[in-house]
Amino acid sequence: MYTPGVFDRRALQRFKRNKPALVGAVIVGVVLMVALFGPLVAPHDPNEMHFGPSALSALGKPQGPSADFPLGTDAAGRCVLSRLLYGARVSLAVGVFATAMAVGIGLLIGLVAGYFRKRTDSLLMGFTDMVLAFPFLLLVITVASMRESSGLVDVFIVLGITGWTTMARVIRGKVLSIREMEYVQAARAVGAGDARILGRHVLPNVIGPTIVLGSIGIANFILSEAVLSYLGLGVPPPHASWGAMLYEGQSLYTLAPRLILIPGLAIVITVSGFNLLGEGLRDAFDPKDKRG
Amino acid sequence: MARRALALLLVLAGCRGKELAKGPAWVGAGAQTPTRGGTLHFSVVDGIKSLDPAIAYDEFSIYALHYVGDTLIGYGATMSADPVQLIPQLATNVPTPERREVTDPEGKPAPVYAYVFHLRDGITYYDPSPPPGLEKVRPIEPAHFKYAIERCLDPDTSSPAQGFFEAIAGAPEMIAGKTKQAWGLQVTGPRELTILLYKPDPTLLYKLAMKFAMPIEPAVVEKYGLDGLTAHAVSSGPFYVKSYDRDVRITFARNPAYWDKDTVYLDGIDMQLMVERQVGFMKFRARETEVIDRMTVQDLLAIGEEPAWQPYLIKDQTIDVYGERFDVTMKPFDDKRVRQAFNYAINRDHLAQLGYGTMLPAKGPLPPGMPGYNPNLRGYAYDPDKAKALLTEAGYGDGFAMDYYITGPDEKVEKIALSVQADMARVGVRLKIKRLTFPVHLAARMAQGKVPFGLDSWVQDFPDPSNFLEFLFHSKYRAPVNSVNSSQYSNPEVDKLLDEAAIELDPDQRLAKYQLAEQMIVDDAPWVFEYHSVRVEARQPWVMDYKMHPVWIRDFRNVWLDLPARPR
Amino acid sequence: MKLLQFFARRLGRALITLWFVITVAFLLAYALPADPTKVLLGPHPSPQQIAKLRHQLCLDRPLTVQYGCFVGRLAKLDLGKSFNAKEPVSTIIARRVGKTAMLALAAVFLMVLIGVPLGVWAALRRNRLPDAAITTGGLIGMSTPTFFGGLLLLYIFGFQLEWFPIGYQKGRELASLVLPAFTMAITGIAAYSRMVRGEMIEVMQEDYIRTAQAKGLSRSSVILKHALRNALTPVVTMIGLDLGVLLGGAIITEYLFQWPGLGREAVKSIITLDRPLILGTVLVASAFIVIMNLLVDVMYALLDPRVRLE
Repeated sequence: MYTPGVFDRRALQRFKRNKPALVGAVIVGVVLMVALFGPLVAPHDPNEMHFGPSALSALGKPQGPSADFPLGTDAAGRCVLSRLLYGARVSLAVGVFATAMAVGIGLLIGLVAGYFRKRTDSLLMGFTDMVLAFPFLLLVITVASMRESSGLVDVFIVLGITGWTTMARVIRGKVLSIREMEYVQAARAVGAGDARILGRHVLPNVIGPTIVLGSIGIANFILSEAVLSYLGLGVPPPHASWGAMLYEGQSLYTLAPRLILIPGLAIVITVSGFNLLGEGLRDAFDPKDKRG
Repeated sequence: MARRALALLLVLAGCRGKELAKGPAWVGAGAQTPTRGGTLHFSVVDGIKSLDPAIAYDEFSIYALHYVGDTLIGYGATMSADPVQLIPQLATNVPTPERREVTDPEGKPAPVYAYVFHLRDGITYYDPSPPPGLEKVRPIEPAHFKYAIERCLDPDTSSPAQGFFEAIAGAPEMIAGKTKQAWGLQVTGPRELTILLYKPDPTLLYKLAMKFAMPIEPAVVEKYGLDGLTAHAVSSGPFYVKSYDRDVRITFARNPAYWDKDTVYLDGIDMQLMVERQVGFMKFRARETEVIDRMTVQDLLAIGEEPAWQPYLIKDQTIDVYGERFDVTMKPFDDKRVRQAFNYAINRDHLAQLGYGTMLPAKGPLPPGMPGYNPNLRGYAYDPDKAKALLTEAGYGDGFAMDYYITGPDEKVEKIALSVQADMARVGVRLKIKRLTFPVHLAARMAQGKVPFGLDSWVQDFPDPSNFLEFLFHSKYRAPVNSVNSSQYSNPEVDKLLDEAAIELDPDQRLAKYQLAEQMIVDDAPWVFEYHSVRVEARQPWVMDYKMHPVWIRDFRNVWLDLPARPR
Repeated sequence: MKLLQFFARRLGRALITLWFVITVAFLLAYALPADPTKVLLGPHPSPQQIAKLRHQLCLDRPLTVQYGCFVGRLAKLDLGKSFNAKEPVSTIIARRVGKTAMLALAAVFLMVLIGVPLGVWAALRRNRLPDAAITTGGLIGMSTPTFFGGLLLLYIFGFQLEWFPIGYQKGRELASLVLPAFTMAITGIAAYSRMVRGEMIEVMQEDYIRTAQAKGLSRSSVILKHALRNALTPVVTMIGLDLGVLLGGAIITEYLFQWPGLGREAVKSIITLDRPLILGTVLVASAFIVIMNLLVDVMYALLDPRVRLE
């Protein structure tokens, strides 16, 4: 029986035949490796400031690639390569945890709204619309700039509580359509309880889209973290994240363009990887689901 | 193909850097003595908020007012090594106060200190488009100064300078709205203005040199109203406003009725408004402007590291101090040893290196250029071992964790914070950096008990040690919220010295007392004084006799242009 | 359900959303910790000046009264006075909105002008080189943070080649528009090209297309008349939503290029805790989004009757 949303062997085969999806998977794999093991091969402490001539000139200008610093230093005399490697961890962590939060909230709301329909649905979707009506960035910036304390965790939370809306909508849509499926109708007719239906029929079919949205969500949250850090409202110093590296490098971009090229490319490649992976997964789960 | 693109990018990256390396492409004509003529162009990053002397308080409005307004006494233009001097301007003297017995409006005898100003003869306003019934050139009268100061005191004006003049007899009643005039401001002769104070106030003269005390005519204010003064500025200074295009540009032309016009060489000044920093630098490179300041970091580094540009770079301290302050009511900063340990542990040379040449390491609050600056002040050398010893002595041998509040987002501030964090980690103190936006930070650091250790700074209101030492370190300026004495520092001996200095009439004695107080303060270490900021400007080779003024900054009064400029 | 009922329901929802936005925005702005009197009055205000200002700003009353105060003013379209600029907020917004609208329109124009043809081309040359290049380009475009793309464009075309001014230059407004518009359009071009490509491919496989081709109509006329029209429906929807979002805040782009629009004003106001201005910009931005969403929903309902049943 064709059950869209379940990752069975045919889905796996579809995935394997999809070249861009494989590329995505490889990229994500590499990035994960870098995040996990990169710091072990970093030549310096990513937060250590160096003041000698190979790091900073007398006026404080960062120096380019050298034997000491393979990718040169940044404006605070820190090793760019080391920060890149450690930054992978932070950027990835923010992406993953924020996504986890967003998925958690979105899944919950989407399930409840889609399954119980009518008033609950109306209420919840109305609430979602209201949150959506806020220009996301403005909301995030306002909340972020109000924080009196600033920690890494706050960044996840801010992103998570503002970014769950798409998840909720999509899940709700999915649940609505699953609900109409014959076997679900049958189960209800037979008298199965809500919990059982949710657990046995709805949830397994929702996992697919959730994973897909999750992958794309990680991509988007990595971008959002970069934007927050670019405005100076993201990861607090001295943590290195790719977004923070962009923020720190922008004041010197004409003198030392590598300071933005390097973290920028890292972000583009990583986010592309997650996007490819997500789309590949979506095509694998449900090849008829065309959403542009 | 990717390789070729990359190569192209690298080539492009390289060719820009070389442009500045050859130095300025055009130079001056080569005259040895000042010549009259030419217009000086420069750009600023913001617009002008107001040309009403009672209201204008932001940097660029003050620039404009400085070109069109003189005051009774002024600040002599100097380089940073020499402290600022007060010189006669519209008055012919810099008065010293004399004791007098007078009667106040209620008939009671009042012992006062009198500052008597003699106005110069023949000083006039120049008004290019006078209101109907008035001439273009009109005399400046002593009553106009009285009126100007009373406007500041008047609660309806909402002047930021209201508090500055409250020591004048009759001022508190005016501030409270009970009277419409301050009886301590008296026109005592056709060319004479007398100001009466209950207590001598050495800072009065500095305040009178600020643009708030520029003369202004009641007829002009009545005609144009509070909002109209910007468009109808009347000049008592070396230039007058020739044209004003809001947020675009304001131009000035030499004032033909100026009392000191022989020392003014420029035909005009062209101030371009709302020009973004990078654009401003590009204009300077294209020779569209004569001077440039506030360069972005990249431009600063690019021009700062080119030997050929060195003769045309001007570096001068501004009168300010930056660093961190402790809240001495919060543990462990109630222990002087811990505060001193911080001072020994922080490497100020590192900070200066991070500053792109805009930071001068500081030992105490008073910068060079401030009267009373003490070059022999005993500060704290970089000594992490001593720091560790002091911490151990105070019982923190194992170190401790502490929040460190900085403002953000600001890339330079964060670099400094990182260096401080690293320095303190080396002696066992683990600082956690917390970033707050500026208004939040300001409110928090001025409240007692919120910010144990955080950034702080002070920029002068006028160049006198009392402006720094009293507001920041006298115990009477402590408060639970909005505490100007943000470190909540209190030392009765320092208070005593400051109180004595406040009424000391002998200038040398006075400065000596402030220096003593400053040393005590530095020893008590309520702050970590880190640096004074250095402004770095560049000028075109044909701009002559230009010095950055410590108070007015862009002072072009005596500048001349060596024209015509020609390619090298 | 009739169209009118549908419209009424949607309008009702939109108004409730707006009210919600207003309330939350108010809470956010007025719950902010800093006291504005210092910022407004300079460093040495007298107690009388402080008291007078607090009274003017309604700060000396409890929160609920302040809310009423605020809503009352809002009804008169009075958004208060900016703390920093000392001008009415509505004046500032009116002055800036035009610039943001200009930027948003230019960006959407570029998105459609470049994105749609690229999508069509990719669909026509499916699985061949142009398709691969466009699809990959699209992916990269979607994965690039806006400010990174902007910085790159600024560096290459502004700083090195000097074709366009760096940042906003009075007197060269049109030239200053190019780089920021392109920056905002990058993600849009990527998205539109992929969407159009996807839609076109799907439509081209439909039976009626093949029937038309079998009947002898030339390929290009088939494409232009049928496939494209169908492929464009989602694009039109997206334009509407995008315009709303873009007007809601081209924040990053304006910040990077110092473009004097509402987005840059918003960032400045947040960083300086200029409460009235924050409120004003958030409200205006949200209002745009809500209105655009409403319009799009209505348009969709007009075009596709099935939607009205929802």
